[in-house]
Amino acid sequence: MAQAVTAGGELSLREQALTGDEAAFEALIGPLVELALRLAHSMLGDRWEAEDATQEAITRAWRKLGQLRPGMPVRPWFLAIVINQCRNTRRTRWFKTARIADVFQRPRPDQSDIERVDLARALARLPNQDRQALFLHFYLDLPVEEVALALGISPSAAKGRIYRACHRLRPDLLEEDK
Amino acid sequence: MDDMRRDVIVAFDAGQAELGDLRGVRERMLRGAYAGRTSRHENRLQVAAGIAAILIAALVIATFVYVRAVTQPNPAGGLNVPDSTPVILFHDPTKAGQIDGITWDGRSAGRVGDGGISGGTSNPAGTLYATGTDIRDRTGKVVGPLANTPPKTSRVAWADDEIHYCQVVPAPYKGVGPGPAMLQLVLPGGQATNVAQIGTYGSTGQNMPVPTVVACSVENDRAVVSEATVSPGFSVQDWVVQLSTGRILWTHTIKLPGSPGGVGTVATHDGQFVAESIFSPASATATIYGPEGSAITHLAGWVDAFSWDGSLAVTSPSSGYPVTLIRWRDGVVVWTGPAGLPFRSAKSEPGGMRMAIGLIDSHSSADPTVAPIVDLYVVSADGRLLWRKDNFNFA
Repeated sequence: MAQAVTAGGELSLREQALTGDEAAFEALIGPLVELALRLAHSMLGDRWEAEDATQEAITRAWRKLGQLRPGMPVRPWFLAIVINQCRNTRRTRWFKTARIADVFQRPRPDQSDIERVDLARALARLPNQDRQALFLHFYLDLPVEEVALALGISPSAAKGRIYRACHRLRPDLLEEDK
Repeated sequence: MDDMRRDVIVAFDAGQAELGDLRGVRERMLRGAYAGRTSRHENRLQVAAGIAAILIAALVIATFVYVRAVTQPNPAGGLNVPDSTPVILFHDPTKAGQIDGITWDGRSAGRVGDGGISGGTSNPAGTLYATGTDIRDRTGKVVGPLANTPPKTSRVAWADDEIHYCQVVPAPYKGVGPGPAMLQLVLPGGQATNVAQIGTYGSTGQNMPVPTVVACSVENDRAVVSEATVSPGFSVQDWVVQLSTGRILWTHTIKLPGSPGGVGTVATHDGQFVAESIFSPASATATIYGPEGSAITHLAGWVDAFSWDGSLAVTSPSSGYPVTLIRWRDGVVVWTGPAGLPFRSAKSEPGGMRMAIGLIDSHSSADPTVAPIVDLYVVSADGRLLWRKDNFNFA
């Protein structure tokens, strides 16, 4: 899942995209669209909302391209925009509504796989920030430094968040096993 | 850690299955984004004209604010109004924990007291407010401690007699895990009276919802309590309870038809009318129930709040905005909030018809853990915007 884009290539594509070159923008952002959609889906729990958020994030990325400094990695920069967009979407109701994500609420077809269900429950109980950090690091395979950039926190904070999430998952699993 | 990584990936993978085949998604989204960018480019002239109009409006408003500022008492002083005058209490935006008050006509404001960091919930008239540990009056003086404050108590729900409040606490229970919940009626400084055992109280440390008091009416002898249940399936149950006897007058359960989505309950201050709202990304609908629990009307939109007499409802669509104030019986929209600003909270003028509606400012942080910036709009029953105040968080 990890995407590798060289700094030199980014710079060049970025400059071309800044001049309005759609092909350059597509080469820069295109490979990240699927990652962005998966991230948005993990935060919003709905394909169509995730697509809306991702598309809006792409539009914003185009408009904010000037803020992508030379040498700055594209992936965490773009995923940060996606995360902000998803937060905006969620915030319309977040203060008062218990939001249900399919991911964690819908019974799995393979109910016999109890461990997986337990883990899904444990994940569902994690604070959003911790779950996001796990998703970025484990599922999208981002290194800690990029997780930090995407979440707008320091690498040590990102590391701490991932560690804390893992620590919270284990007692949950142990408790469920009792 | 490798096992953990693998298990987490499998769990996330199961959730991502809904996305299915993603072929063609990249191209479709990029095309959509280009279209959005193009239309924005074409709209630049219109945007420029809009900005000019906003600047002119800002100039007019600034002049208005300046004139008002020099005629108003300094908010740094105390609240200089009679004790019986209803005020809206709010968190001072410049000093953490400070509770301020402002009259419903917006003409008189001042400081009330501190203790607002971990609380600050005010009664309808703003004569008392709850901190995290006690109840204080309009001068900031402690009137009494909060009764039976368990680690995860529901918030104080003030009654319409302006003195009592309702709360939900764990009922006595010898079992393990979640136990029954107890609705109580409390007189500050006095004893808490058990009203009825309602719903389930999750044990401390569990991420379980606690029943919420939606309305507490000593005047009408009833309370409305709502509880969300996440397993099995997501549902919300509402109870309307007689305070004096603990009798359940009526109850209703809503099941979320599909996910993602949400349900929510609000009620008039007297518990006479209860609105249950359901929303999905595509739509929001609400049903308003009458005193006996029968459905009176169905509305398009989410009901956020009621006016004091119950005739007006603050509603919003599934997108969250624009927020509207409607006469819910005939569906007439009396006021529409600014585009793009979702609902945050509202208060109804006790004994009056004005509504104070808090909308989330567009400059709020995108981080959901950061409290949003809220702008206050005070609207009359006929839909006139009487006054507004930026950066306003209700107490």
